[in-house]
Formats: sequence, structure tokens, C-alpha cells
Amino acid sequence: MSGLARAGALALVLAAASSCAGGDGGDGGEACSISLVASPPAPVRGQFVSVTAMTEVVGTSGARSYTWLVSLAGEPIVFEVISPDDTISFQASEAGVYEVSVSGTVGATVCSSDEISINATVPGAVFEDMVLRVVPRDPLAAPAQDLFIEVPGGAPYDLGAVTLSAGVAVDGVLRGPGGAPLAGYLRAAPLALEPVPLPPVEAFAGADGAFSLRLLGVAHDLLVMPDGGEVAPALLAGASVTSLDGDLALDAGALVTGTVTDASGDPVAGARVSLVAGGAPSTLAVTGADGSFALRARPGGPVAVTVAPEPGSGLPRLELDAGGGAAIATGSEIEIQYAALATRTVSPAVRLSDGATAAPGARVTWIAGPIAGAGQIAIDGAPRAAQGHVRLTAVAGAGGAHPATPLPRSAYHVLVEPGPAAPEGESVRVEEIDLVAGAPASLSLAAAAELTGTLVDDAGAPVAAARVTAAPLGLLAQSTAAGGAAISDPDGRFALPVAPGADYDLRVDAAAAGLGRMALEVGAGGPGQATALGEVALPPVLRLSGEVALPGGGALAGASIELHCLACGADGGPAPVAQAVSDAAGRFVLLAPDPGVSP
Amino acid sequence: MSRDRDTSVALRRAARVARRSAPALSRTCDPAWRLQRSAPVLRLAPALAGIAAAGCLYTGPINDRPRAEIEKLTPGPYHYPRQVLEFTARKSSDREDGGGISCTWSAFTCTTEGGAESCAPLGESVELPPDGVFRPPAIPSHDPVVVQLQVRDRSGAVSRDTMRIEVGNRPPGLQLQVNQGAQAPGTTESYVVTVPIEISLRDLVDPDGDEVSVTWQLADRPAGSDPNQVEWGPVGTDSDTYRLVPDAPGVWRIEVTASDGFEQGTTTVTEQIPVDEDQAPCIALTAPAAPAPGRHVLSREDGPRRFAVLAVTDDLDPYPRPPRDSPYLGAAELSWSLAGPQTGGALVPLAGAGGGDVVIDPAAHAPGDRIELRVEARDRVDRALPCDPSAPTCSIGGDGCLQRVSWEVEIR
Repeated sequence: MSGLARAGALALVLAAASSCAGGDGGDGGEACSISLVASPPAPVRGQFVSVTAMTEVVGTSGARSYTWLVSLAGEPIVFEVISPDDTISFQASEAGVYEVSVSGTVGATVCSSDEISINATVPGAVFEDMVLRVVPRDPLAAPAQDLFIEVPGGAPYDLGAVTLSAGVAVDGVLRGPGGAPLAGYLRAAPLALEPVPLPPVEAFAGADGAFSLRLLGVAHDLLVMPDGGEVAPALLAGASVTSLDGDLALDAGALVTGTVTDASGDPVAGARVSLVAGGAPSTLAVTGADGSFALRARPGGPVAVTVAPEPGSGLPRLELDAGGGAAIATGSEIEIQYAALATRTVSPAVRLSDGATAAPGARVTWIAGPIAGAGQIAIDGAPRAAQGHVRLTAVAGAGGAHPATPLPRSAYHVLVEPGPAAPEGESVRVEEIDLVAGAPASLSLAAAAELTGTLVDDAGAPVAAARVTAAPLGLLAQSTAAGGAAISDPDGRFALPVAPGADYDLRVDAAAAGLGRMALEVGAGGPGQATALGEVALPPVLRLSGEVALPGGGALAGASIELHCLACGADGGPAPVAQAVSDAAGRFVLLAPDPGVSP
Repeated sequence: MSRDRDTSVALRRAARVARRSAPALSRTCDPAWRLQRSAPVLRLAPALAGIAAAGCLYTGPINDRPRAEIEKLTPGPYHYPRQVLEFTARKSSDREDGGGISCTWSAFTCTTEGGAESCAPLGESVELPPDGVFRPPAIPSHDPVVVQLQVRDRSGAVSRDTMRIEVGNRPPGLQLQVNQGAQAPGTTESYVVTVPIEISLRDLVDPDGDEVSVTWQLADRPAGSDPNQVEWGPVGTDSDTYRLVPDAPGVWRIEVTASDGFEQGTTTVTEQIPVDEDQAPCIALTAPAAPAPGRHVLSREDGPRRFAVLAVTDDLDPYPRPPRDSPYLGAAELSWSLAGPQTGGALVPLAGAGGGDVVIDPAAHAPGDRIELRVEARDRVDRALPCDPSAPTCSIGGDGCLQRVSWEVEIR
């Protein structure tokens, strides 16, 4: 699984200058084409740049004539034609992207035109490493891929032509025991694409077992999950792409049986049992009335086991990690027995934040764990202690009544979330409740807290129409109701209702204002409190443009272009900072964070 | 040659000149006569003819009058204000006597009021050699211009020619530019209902320099339009731009008439504005791809997984929103909801998930948990999705343009 090279991701071709060839202008074998060469190719502001038209002529002759155009940000730039007129010179008096185009004739033959983009950088520009992620609309045209780029600060920058790697087509048929076609799910995760891992490539094999993938030319971990539970899933770790093409035949895997019993030895019915053996999940088994189960798994180890009892059983989820070194084989038996855990039945009244009004539809999630010694799992007779975890959600009934639910006696974090009919201003409350001490008589929602602030740009001007969202961190990350979203008003002000007392990843998307994105971690105050964040300054952005092309040279239209920073995330890690979609010509423009200029 | 003979010849010539004078004068058009009334120098011609006819005082050879002929160098039969015309007298001569002639040019503009025409000088009179080019000042108005040439030989004999130039009128020119906010060129060939459309005058110009008045008319509306729901009028105090807020799809017709007030001085430009219903946004690209024919599997060992909408296409509000200088108006809104064990199985909105992605952490789940993650896209128009709430996908048009997609996720 260890790192193979980034070769696949880096197989993209980055050209500093894009070149677009036109058609030849002549008939009967007469043709000429012009290509432009700039010197210096990457000037610094203030430098003079010369651009020469290199003309290739076939079957024609005559006087050569050129028509030049130089522009910066759409405005024409004065240039000087140097004799002979196949060369021009201009001063890059401002930093930015200079567009130079030329058309010409040789005798009566019209030549193909050419154009280039020349980046004039700011002296002292800071270069920042970033990742450009390209996701084609058709996943079979080219795989999603990353390009590591350096973005200079201080001025717009054009990446030129980005030609995608074609990747490798993987077409095959998934087959089960006896060669029968097998429907299922396939997931290929490219290896070692740090620091911004590419998402896996997925495919679904139909009833005929046929599947198609297009993958980067690097090793992949291929997970195959057959439908139906008759054949064990398989993980082909570090598989070369070429080895994946063609039939993919799986045997049924090892048959593993066992039972789940409670502390009294009584069977536990309806529990979901699953393994992870050697990194590959097993099929999912559900215990019968007698507590027995049977599943299929790939032989080997290490083996992790999870037992998820039915909600309301009063039993925790049992987890046995893969640290024991156990392995499984055909015929392995797994005996799972819960320890004697005292339970307490909870049935609190769930109320609104006023503590009095019933909150029908409110959700209460009980989270506990790990609970040491919650049970014992024996693989082929070798017992190990398993930890217990509880994560159970109950929905309050019509009168705000929590259904009576037995839970292991333990310390809990309890999330109380408003239901769909909750009044505005009701929000999530997090409580710590120790069921060893007793069960709560009531639980209540919290009055929403508020995060307020004013968005400004780097010049201090208010930023309107920006989308501000607060995504909860920590325990509340699993809540569906804790976050908030708002649009900044004309004065740049925003106010986000959020769950109180939690930390948030505050994200700002100011594309509507011609600015970029940013993220920062903030904390919310207590119930009903507003936390003033003051001025939130959006970082300056620069226009980062480019053009994506398919391996054959055709424009890649409608592709997603995402720019990721490597260390600007709320956690100091990578984060997406700009997003665009390529147009019909494959062109894209991103508003990238400006790395700046060193003083 | 004896004096008597000379006298006889001179008399004959004088008589011939007198005979010539009458047709010469009658040849000149009426305005010339009117000009003569206001230009005393022109009265010399009949006076000289009378003296020559009498012959009693004349002792030398009788001088033939020079020939005066105006030649218009500026081509074309029609002329308009602002035009500078050119004339020459090169066909004028004093052939019988030889010798040089001097040519004096004058130009007049003539107006008719109460049936009487009066003329005023147009610039200064100038004296030019016969082959000189006379360029009076540019034609100032639509009134006729009369050009007069007076040719004088060395002996003082004078002939005149006049030419009347009728001045035509050209209608004003104008173009209209239709713009709907910052609508994307090429995205659609029509405009979108309820979104303001601005129609602006472009290149309004009267080639003759006349003052132009402009009238705007909403000439036709689609059958489904309610006049009370249509906003139509000038933008602020700028009558060069009108705003139309169409309330119904169909073809709208705007007529703009520009007139300089003269005959044939009206131009009407008709603009057909096709207006469509706002197109529903289409979720065009997601990661992982959705809808999928099966469940996506999240392994708890793999860590959090991002589910993202990478592209929404729309006529006005795509997602992500391109930079501000793009031709689009806004961005599609995305709303997310989730159903899973943590929601009691009910589909509930994800508060604060208004952006393009949602992250699911499988570590918070048990193997076998199933989650449905749903995203819906909408643009500036509030539309009810015509699908059962439980349907994982939905398309208003019933085609491949989806406004709702879902991911079915199984935790393992």
C-alpha cells in the first residue's frame, strides 16, 4: 500500500504558453503555419519581451506579412515591430498575462495563426505550491487527476495548456464462483497521491458483470463488493492498472460462522456482524433467532470484528480491533459474548429551549464509548476483550416523549436536535449525562447562538453577497442541525444561527463579489448569545487561468477545476480554495488566493 | 480694316450679343433673377447689352462676352447637409477674344417663406482662376443652395451662370442593443422571463446633423402577458435605455422610431425579443457520480468522504459561480439533506450545508448502516419539484436534467 510515485498525477503536461493551431490557408499542398516564441518566456515586470513568429512554409513562396496584436487584460498594448517584421518587442510595464496573437500570409497563402500567453510576474513574487484537480465530466474520457503547480503572487497568471493524462481504460467482467457474472461495486483508490488524496474511482458492475473504469497509470487498491452476500468482498491492494483489465474472478471466500450471545448465554438476534480481514470487509451477516450467523470473508488477517445489535436491545456495539493478529480461514468460528452490563431505561421528556414546551420530533442521540470489557470475541477459540460503543438516536413522539430505551450505564454525550417542526431559534444542545448516576427526567433544546461579523476585502471594503457557512467541528460534526448559513448583506454583515458552545469551521465563498474563499475556525458562545467575530478579511485573490485539453488535443469542456491549497485549511492542511468549470474551449478562470509579494 | 467696317462689324456683334443676351438670361433659372435683384453687379449684363445694341458711343471693336459655365465636380445628383461641394469654371472661356478671364464665385442658401424665396450668402465670394475649385462652406441645412459664377474678361464683359442645388434629407440611423443583466452569450439565444431586459440605443446618429427625436413603443406582447405585470419604461432619466421586465414567455416586440422632422426623415427599428421561461438548473457533475446504479461503500478505515456537486449548468445561475466579470447573473443554490441512523431514518435538512459539498465520516457509523444523502439545486425561480419526496432523483423536465440527485451509501 505504500507510496508509489506521483507519476500518474504528474503525467499532465503544463505548458507556459498555450498554442492554438489554425488551419492551413492554402490549397493544393500550399500551407504555412506560424508559431510564436517569446524571449524571455517568463519576464518580470518592466522587462522588454520580444516575440518572434516562426513560419513554416510548404509549397508556397512570396512576401511575408504579419498582423500582430498584443493585449493585457483585454486592453491593447503598444509594441514595436522589429525588422524584419517577424519579430515584435514590447515592454511588460505591468505584471500580468500578456496575450500575443499573430496572423500572416506568405505570398497569397494565408497562414495558420498563433497566440501565446506570456506571464509577466512581479519582482519578488512569492510562489506557492498548490494542487489543481481536474475532474472530467465523462469519467471514461480521462480520470480525475491532480496537477501540482506553483502560483506566483501579485498578478494574474496563466497556466497555459493543461493536457490531461489519458489514463488507462480498465474494462472487465466481474465473475463469481463457476465463472458466473456477478453484479457489484468496484472502488479503485489511487495510491500515494499525498497531500491531497484523489477520491477513488467507482464503478458498478451490472447483472452481466461488465464494468468499465478509467484509471491513472499508478497502482491502485481495488475494492470489489459483490452484491447479494454470497461472495466475499475482495481487496486487491497495490494492483497495477494493467492487471485489472479483463475478467475479475472471485471465489466465494471463506465461510465463517459463529454466534452472538448475551451475558446469560442467551442468543442475541438481529445483530449485524461483520469482519475486516486483511483490509477487506466481509459480507454482512445478521444473527438469527438462535444468535447464529454465517458470513463470507477473504481468508487471512489481521481480523477486526464489529457487532451492531438492534437499537433498543440495551446492548452496545462491540468492536474488536485488528491488533490481535488473528486470522480466519474457511471454517473459522467466531463466538461473541456480551459482558453483563447494567442498563438504564431512559425516557426523558424532550422540550424546547424554554424547558417547558414539548418538542415533538426532536432527535436525541446518545453517544458513549469506548466501554471497556463490554464483551468478548473469540476467533477460533482465542478470546479477546472487545470494547463497547453506543450511538443511538431516538425521536421524540407527539408530546415530546422520548421512547423508553434501555442503554448501558455509562457516561454519555447527548445531542438534542430540533425536529422539523421546531420553532425558529431552537438549536442543538449537547449534554453530558452519566447514566450510572441516574436517568434524566427531561432534555431540552438550546436557544441558538449566533456568529456575527462583517466581511471585508483586503482594502477594508465590505463584501456583499458572499456565502458564509459554519460547519460544526468535534462532536457536533455528526449533527444535521448544528451548522448555519447566511449571505452577507450589502454592508458585508452576516449573522449565522448555530448551536451554542461549539467550534465551527467558518467558510466564506465570495465568488459573487469577485473574491475567493477562506476558512477559519471560530467558537460560538452560549445559548442565545451572539459572538461578534468583527471584521473577517477575505484574502486578496488573483486570476488564475488556463486551458484543459484531452490527451488527443481536444478541448475538455464542462470539466470541474478545483484548486487546493496545501496548508490553508482550518486544520492547517489542504483545502479547496477555488472552483471553476471549463468552458466549451476548455478555458477556465479561478480566483486563487494571492500568495503575495515579498517586501 | 476700315473704321466703318469695324463699326459695322462691332454693331453686328453688339446686336448678336444682344440677341445672345436674352436667351442667356432666360437660360438662367429663376433664382438667378431673384439673385440679381439683390446683387447689383448682375444688373450690368443687360445694361451692357443695351449700350452695345445702341452702338452710338462705341468706337473700338465690340468685345464678346465671356462664356460662364458652372461645372459641379462633386459627383451624384443628391446632396445633403454637411456635404462640401466642389465646382469649377474650367469650361468657362472667352474664346472669341481670347485672353484671360476672372471668375468670381458666390454661394447662397435660399429659404421659401410665404411663397417667396429669399437667399443669404453662404460664405464669402471668392475669385478663382477658371480651373480653380470652388468649395463653398458645407451645406448648412436642407434649404437649396444656389451657386453663382461670374466671369469677367479683360474688357470688363461679364457673364454669369448659376446652379441650384436641391438639398435632400437622410433619415437618422440607430441600432438597438438588448441585454439581460449579464446573460451568458451562447448559453441561450433567448432571454428569461421576469429578469429585467435593458434595450439601449446604439449609434443613434443623423447623418445630416439634424436634431433627432426618439419614441419608444412596446409594440407587441405574448398572448399570455398581463399588461399590469409588465414593467416597461426608461431607466432613470436616461431615455436612451428602456427596461422591460417580461411577465410571460414568447416574442416581445419593441419599436423605436427616430425622426429628424423632415420629409423621409424617420427610421423605425423593430427588435424581436424572444423570451423563454427560466430554465431549471441541471446538476451536471458530482463526485462521486450520481445518480449511481447502486450503493457507494464507505469503509470505516478510509476516513471521511466528500460528496460534492462540482457543476450545475443553468442559463443564468450556474454553479460554481464564475468570476464577477463573467456573463452570468448568479449562482445556483444547493440544499442538502440526509437520512440515516442519526436522523431516525428520516430525511432531514443539513443545516449549514449550503455549499457544494458534504463530508460523511463513516467512523461515526456501524457496518451495515445505510445513509441517503440528497442534494437539490435551484436557481432564482422557486419551483416545486414534481417528484415524490422519496424519489432519489427528480427532473422537472422529465429528461436528463436533474434537479435532485441522491447518493445511497453503505458503511462497511
